[in-house]
Amino acid sequence: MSPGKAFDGPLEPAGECRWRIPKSYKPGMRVDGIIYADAHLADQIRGDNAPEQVANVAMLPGIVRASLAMPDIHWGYGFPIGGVAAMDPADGGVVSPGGVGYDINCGVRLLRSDLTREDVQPRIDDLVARIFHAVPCGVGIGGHRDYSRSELARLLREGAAYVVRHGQGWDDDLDRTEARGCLDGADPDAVSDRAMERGRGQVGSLGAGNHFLEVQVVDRVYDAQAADAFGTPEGAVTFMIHCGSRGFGHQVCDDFLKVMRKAAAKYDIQLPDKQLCCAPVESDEGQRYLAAMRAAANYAWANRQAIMHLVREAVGNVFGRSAERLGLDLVYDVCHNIAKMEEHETPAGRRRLCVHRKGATRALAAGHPETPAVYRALGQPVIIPGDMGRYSFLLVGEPRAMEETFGSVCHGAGRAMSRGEARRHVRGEEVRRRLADKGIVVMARSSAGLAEEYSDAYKDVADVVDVVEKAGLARKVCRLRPLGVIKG
Amino acid sequence: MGTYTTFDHTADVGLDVRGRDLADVLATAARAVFDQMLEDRPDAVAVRDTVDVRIDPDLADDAGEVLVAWLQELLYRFETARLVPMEVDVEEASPDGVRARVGFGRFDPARHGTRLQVKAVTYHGLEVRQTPDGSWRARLILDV
Repeated sequence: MSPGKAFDGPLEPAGECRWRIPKSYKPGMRVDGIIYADAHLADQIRGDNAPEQVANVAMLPGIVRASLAMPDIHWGYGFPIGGVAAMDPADGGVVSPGGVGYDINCGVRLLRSDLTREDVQPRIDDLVARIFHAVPCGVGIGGHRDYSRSELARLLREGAAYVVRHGQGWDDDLDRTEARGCLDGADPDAVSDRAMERGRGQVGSLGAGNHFLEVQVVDRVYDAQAADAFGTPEGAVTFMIHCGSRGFGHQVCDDFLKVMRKAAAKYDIQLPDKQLCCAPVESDEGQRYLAAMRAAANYAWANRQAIMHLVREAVGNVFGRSAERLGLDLVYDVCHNIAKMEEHETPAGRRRLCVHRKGATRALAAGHPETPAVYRALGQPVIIPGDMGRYSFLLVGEPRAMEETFGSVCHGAGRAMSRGEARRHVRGEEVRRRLADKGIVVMARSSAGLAEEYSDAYKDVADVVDVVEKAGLARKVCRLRPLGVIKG
Repeated sequence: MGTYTTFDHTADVGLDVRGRDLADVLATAARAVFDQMLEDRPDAVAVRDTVDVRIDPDLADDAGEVLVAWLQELLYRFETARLVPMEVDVEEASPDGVRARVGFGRFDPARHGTRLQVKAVTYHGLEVRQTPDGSWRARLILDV
């Protein structure tokens, strides 16, 4: 199955911004597929074969309610990007590394400040340059130091708290991080030597590809009460960090794809695509993968925490004031590639499910106990990065997400153009100039990499979040426009 | 030395590699992967050390898995020691494993330009086979 060919199966209208692939579409589907999209996006989505992947995921053992896909869905390895699938371990439910992806706990962190556009604009070149030099980024570039294996093992168990304990952050940062920056049950012994070696030198580094760091300004507010509560009123300057678990997570995924290919045969799980390889959650293989994946998730939270610390220092240096005095508070850190054990209402009652989010963001509504206490009356902040020439969005979760999508929404814009196509359209220097015309300063280690990430290579993220809002899964709080962009 | 071309794959990069035998395909694929990551390879990186690289049968049990394991091994050395394979002599290659002499140079971020971060070599659409004319061909997709 390839991404090129169009999907010719059924996509039946199933209510506002909802399309159903009925389980009668293919033998072996245990539940329907549901794709969230408007008519325009549904056309685009048909153009690649991702809906077929939604149908394939519906065949996996123990899947509950439906195989779900967000409006930014596109073709992925086995599972589509933008997919959500919850499995019930009590019903033979499986866990699959392909349902998480190579970049385990890739996610986004948003930092707010008391700075305004007027404070930042005259010093934007200096600000971007200082952050660029403070935060290691690019292909082959690790963090500022190598961790010993015993230090790394502690970091894998503790997540973001480990780096906070070592002076890189504030205690209340953890209150504003999904899962407080640490999943229980992470086991460094479930991780290969290779992953440990790859991870030792990369804590506090951004990487390359679609990962970025942006200086932004809130240029539109949709919900003033929520924007004030999140510290992001119109004109406020924010900093967004998008990255994951680096080579550590890639290695964990690769190691367990091998394990799971054998496990799927061992447990006689029928797979429509080998890349959906998986094992029962309750099996030894499933538990070992979860223990290693949690270690990688904790690595990513520690990584984003360490990067944020470097950003706070750099911004403080530029403005000659401490990060505390500049009000550089964490708004939230949320992950979009993960499998988590969560309690949900199902047709069979309340169950503990293994929820795969591959390119999907958790979105909790007001009152949920896992929403930070400071935001509980409002709901969890949901950070949706866009492309570097347009904007990103801050949303807040709504109750329907919990009713329909296991508390999940979209994760970004999704590519509209391949990397090669983007490179043929535009060169890195041209991207730099076009962004400069819009008042956006960019620093990147790689010119070719920059060309591949330019705006038109991505869908308009506004279309994606509009669907999520119309479907009632989350609502818009504010829009964040880039002033400065840092890429690997 | 064999030849290769790239093909588009949404967010990722595909490689179509041709060589006179499996060994040639492995050596050419190594060059192709590092061409994606670094600008101006191979001239800028001087060979520092030549070492043996082996892929054992317990890591792989067909030609496709051998190719993936081989490239992952080179990516691992790049990430952990900044080593770039500059001279690759694959002495033995079969669906059961690989033995190669590799001359590695060292990546210097201050001097060498970069392009893409190759996260992994995927199994999607992976194909390694002998063609009717006796030469070998591989198709693979890099997650970037």
